[in-house]
Amino acid sequence: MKKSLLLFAAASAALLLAASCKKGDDLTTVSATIKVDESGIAAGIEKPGSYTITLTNSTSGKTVTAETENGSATVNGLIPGTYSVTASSSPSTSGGFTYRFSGSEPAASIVKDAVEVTLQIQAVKESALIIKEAFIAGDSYDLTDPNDIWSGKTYFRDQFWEIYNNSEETVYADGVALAQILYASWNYSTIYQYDIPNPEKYVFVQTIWQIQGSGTDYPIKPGESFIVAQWAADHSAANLANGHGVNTSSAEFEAIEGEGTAGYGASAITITDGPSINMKRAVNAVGYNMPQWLVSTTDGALVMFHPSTPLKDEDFLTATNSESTKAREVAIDDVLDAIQWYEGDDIWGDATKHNLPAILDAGCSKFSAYCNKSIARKVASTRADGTKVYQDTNNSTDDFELVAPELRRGGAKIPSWNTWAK
Amino acid sequence: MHRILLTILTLCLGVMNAQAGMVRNAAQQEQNYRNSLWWNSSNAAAQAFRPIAVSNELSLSWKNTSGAWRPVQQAERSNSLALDTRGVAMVGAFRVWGDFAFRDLFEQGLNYNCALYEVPEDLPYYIVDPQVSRWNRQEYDMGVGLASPVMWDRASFGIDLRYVNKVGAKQRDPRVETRVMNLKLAPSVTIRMGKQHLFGLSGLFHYDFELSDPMNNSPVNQAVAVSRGLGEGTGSVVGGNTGLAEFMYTTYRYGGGVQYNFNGPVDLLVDAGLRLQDVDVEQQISLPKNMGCTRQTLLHADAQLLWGSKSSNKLSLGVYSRDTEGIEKVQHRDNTPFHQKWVTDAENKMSFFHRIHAEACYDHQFGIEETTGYTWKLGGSCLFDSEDDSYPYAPASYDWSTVFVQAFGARNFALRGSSLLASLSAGYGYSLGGSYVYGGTANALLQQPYLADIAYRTDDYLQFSGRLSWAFGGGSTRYLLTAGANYNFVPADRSRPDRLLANLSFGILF
Repeated sequence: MKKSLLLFAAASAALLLAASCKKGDDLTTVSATIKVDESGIAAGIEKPGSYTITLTNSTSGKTVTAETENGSATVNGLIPGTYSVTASSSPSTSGGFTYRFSGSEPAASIVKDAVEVTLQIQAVKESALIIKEAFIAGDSYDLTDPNDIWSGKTYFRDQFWEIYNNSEETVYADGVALAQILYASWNYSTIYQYDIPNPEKYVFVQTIWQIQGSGTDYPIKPGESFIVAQWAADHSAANLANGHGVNTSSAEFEAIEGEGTAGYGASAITITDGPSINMKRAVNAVGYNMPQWLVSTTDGALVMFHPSTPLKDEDFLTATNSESTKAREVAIDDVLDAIQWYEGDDIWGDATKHNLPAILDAGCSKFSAYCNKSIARKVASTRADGTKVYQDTNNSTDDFELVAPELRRGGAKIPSWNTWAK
Repeated sequence: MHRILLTILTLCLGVMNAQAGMVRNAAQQEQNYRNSLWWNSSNAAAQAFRPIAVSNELSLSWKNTSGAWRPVQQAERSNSLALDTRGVAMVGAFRVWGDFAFRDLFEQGLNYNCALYEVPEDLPYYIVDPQVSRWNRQEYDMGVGLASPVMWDRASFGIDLRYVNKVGAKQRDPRVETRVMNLKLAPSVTIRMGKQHLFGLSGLFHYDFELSDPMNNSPVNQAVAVSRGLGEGTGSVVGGNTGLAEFMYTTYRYGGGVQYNFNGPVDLLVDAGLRLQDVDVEQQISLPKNMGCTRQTLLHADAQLLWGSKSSNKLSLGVYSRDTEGIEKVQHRDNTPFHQKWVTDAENKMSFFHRIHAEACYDHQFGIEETTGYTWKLGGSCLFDSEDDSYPYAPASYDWSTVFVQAFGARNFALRGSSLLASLSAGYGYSLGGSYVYGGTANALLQQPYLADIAYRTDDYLQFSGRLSWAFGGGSTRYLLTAGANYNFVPADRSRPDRLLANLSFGILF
């Protein structure tokens, strides 16, 4: 018996010893060389001397950065994976304009050693008008569970966008257009493709709302902003959000074309047409008949642009991989500002699901639908006259923060032609 | 499903009625299992040589658990009802056994799990949510075993089959309904060499499939996170257009073992084996995307030794070592119209899980010659557990070690027409240390389960338990009424929570 037990004890000790030797607790890493191709930058624009390369692992979200030397940068110690690779640099001034430079590859497969990735660099002119604050998420209130913000009512008709003159010169709101990006199907199972030359120079939308005017009707001075409301009204009214919601009745513009009705039966709401200036639904590729403009409370992107050619509400593009999808192209060169927002890290972590190219927005804002929060741009500096300069690096992750919605935050001035704002 | 259950139940009842059992009270029931060394091994064929005594049982039981001192993904409070039946009989020349259990569980205070019926220690790929929830569960667990007669005076063949079906539903948003199916086959062969030596070989094939469907009944989406292990993972949502789809967990487990039994002045059984396990986790049935997989190797060795008059002494030793690798696949989506699929470009071993368990148990029974089973039993046990996990890329590590020692005793009272077994035990768990270190930047929700669990794992604790089993009734049927409780607490800090388990059962011994 003793022999048997001793034999067993020895075998067990060997088993434990073998088990205690951890095997395989090491990682395989690879390297990658990132090259920048500046051949697409127009002559006359001074090119940056170097670029900051950022590699973001699409699974873990971890980032690695490097600086280019002589047009390339080599990065070591990468976990094999799919990476979003971006190149960015400090802005430069040429011919009186400020240009920002960037290039991106949203889904570079770096799964073996010594992979080469080439980024096409584009130059985008910096805009005076910027999206300073956007209230997109909507409201939740009357909670039955105080610990659960999703246990009450929801409301979203008080969406608004505040557009600010971040420069030192007067610009005009006439002709400024806003549109939500149409990038993919609702679950990203189809990323829409269009048969158009140089598709990488465009973004695609279905509905465009545009401020009408002669070209000089609506001046916006430095430090002033104008509000575009989905529907300019006091949404705290009893028949609307009943003590909650945002009062957007002072908005300069609203995305309705006249009075209308939203909803059906007992829940129908009359969309009143107040003193705010109506925008025009200049493009309606989807044949949308609702009286107002509804922007996705989660997972979306929006561009503000000044079309270089008149907008066409016909002869739309048809997605080559979705016959029922019609869209209008918007040239990236016409875009003044753009933002994108997502609810889950896993959507942002997959670069193939980014609604905007990195040249328009290299980051994103993250918030949940109906979270009662807006995104507001951070203040970069304050001029001697007290007007604020807001941060604009074309990266929503860095430029925006989540705050309680407020019109004309930070003392943004109201244009003189707005006589109804109190 | 109902037809299968009725068939199994009928088979079990038929087996029970085929031959009256020899177990008449709780002490004899305990002795029957204790002394049947091969019954406690992974080899069914040996029942032809060293069979367990025929016994048939049917019982209805209730269990209640309460107290916050527990692994964080266990329920803080639970009630369960179970119907259990098992029997052993001879059917012709074959020894046959079967068991069936139906369990209904009602649990409260579960947290950090919105995917799995039960979260294994070494499976990190599941959905973590911040809502403390109720869960309702049901389990159907049935097994059948068969041992052939001894052939050529030397060999026997056997097989163990088990089928388990479970369903669980989380009762608060984000909700989940998860369905589990397990199928196990374990063939075996036993060969006699001489009068005192038996050698056995056993195989194992085990297939698990779990389909977990997260859902949201609220008007707004629910923030969750998808774990990749040790606090790493990615934020996500349940509900809405881009919320998480169903998760599928497919497990293949296969292995084998060798057994040796010496039956002479002492009765010694040694059982050692190797088991390999692969788990693949995928999301969305219609367009499967791999969410991670694990590869596990488990080595185990067990020994049981009986000696003394009527096997009054028993020593049990056991050890297992489990190594698991968490593998994350790098995939891209092939968007070829009408033929979209996820394609794997590379595999990375990202997380590592090591587990060791060792135990030793000794007991001595007095008065075994009595017809009602032993009169006294005294004994002690010692358990060692250790876990050492890491996610080097984060970096993150999670490790702990514990030793638990216990003394126990029992007295079997022979009363007029009945018998009463009273058992008591006291134990102390001593922590050898532990820590959770996380150096990454992932969603803070993912670190919460580890922070809560390391506090539990590094507590020193006392455990007391007691049980009363009263067997009564005459004729071929005996009734068994059992009540028991187990209480755990942290003596050094009474502000720490405690844990109480109570159970009550009423059964019939045939």
